[in-house]
Amino acid sequence: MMRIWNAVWAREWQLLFRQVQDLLQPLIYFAMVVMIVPLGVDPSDDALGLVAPAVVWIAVVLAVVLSLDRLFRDDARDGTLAVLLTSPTPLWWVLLAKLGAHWLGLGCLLGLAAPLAGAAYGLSATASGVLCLTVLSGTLGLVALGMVAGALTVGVRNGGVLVAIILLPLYVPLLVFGAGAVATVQAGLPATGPVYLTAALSMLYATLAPPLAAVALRLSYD
Amino acid sequence: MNESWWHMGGYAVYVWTSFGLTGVVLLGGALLSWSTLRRQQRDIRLERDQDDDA
Amino acid sequence: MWTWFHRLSSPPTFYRWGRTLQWVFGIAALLLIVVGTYGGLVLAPADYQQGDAFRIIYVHVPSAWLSMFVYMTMAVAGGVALIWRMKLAELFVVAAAPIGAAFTALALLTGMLWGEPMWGTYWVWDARLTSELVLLFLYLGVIALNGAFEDPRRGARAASVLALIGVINVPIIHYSVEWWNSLHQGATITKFDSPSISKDMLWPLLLNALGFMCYYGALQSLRIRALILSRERDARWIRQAV
Repeated sequence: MMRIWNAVWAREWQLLFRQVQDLLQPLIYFAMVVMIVPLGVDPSDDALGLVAPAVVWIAVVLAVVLSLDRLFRDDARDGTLAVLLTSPTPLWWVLLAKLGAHWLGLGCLLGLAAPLAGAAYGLSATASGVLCLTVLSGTLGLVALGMVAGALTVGVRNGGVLVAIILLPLYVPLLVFGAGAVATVQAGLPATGPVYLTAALSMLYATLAPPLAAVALRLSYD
Repeated sequence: MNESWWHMGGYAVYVWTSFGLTGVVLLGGALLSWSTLRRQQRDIRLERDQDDDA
Repeated sequence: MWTWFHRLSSPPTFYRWGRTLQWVFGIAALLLIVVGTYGGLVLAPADYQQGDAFRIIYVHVPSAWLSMFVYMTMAVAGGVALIWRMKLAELFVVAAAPIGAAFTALALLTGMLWGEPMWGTYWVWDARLTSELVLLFLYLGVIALNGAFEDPRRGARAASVLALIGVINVPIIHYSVEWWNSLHQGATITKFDSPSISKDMLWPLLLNALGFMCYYGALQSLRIRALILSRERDARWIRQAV
């Protein structure tokens, strides 16, 4: 099992580094969303401070949704997926490795970028810190759910919008707790509850996603 | 059913729109699905009769 | 007991028995809804606080209940479809999604029509309405996913998986939206939670709710039969059965 993990893990990271734009482009998109929102509102600290948690979190969500395409695109195209489906390797284990690599790659980048965005919106150090925490843990859940949605839509033409339609309602809890944690801290209250909830939800999704995505992939290829 | 009943204490617009919408959706949905079924049945009968004639 | 379930789950059997189900449920629905609506519009006394506007609950609450009920049944069917690979269960999911979406939309619209005269605003971001709105989009996702494939079988199975994922999330969504609402207790404290309701106002509500459920049963039977015909076009039994 571990050998499979290592093999998949190594391959995923290789792919990520070979096609760095798969990571950088969502990040740039994130930065752009964060940048244009103040242009639509009163950029005073009060107004921005109010919307900061939501805007940063929504930008994270959008960036993740856009990044999901790469999860299965290349493997579907070059036949790796077909091989995986017919091989005796437990598919969910492979998918768990994919999930981990994608999360550590993109999630960590976003987790670092988010507090910077928060600072740009005038968030205090504590609030930015909580933002960083919830984005780091939340992106795991976002990618997990995204993986299932991606598995369901493998090979669908113009699946991007469809994936977003499927995913956004499912993202509501993570968004609520992730952004809500920062809002709680801004109000001066301890945010342990929502921070833990974000992490817990992410763990739940990360546990359920690989087997569900495996089922979904098999459906696509039956 | 006198005048005041239709008036619904001044809320006639809201009450009757609600009930009307519900009625339209429920009946409309039923009619739509019914006509889909009929169409399918008709097409299959047509095919069957054509093949029988052939 | 399982044998009849197994037999019923074969498309030709359901096609035949579904006709009976259609009519039984349909007539029950008609009777229940007519009596319930009459009770709600005419017989029930006007509310002390809300006057006659409260009568909207006789369509709003049953719609809201059905929006949840349809999703639950859709998710169960999705699970059955995946675990037992039952074609009929897949068709159940595909048939149910638009019905559920319609009930959700009705619940939202009637809720808005109730909110305006009562609390002066068509929309308020309270937990109940917001959850209902998210539910609408969950339904739309299932419908969209089903329609995205040329192969209807693949679409039905994908929709089944999505329905299942959604149902896991529905209680989580509800809880999170409630938490969010309590966090930002803003200007409007919503009173969409109606106070305990007296018995002579309650019975039309229950009748209508039951009637809507029977309507769902009838419409489902109808729609599944139509889906069976379209999917099984080339099967041998079809020609005789139609």
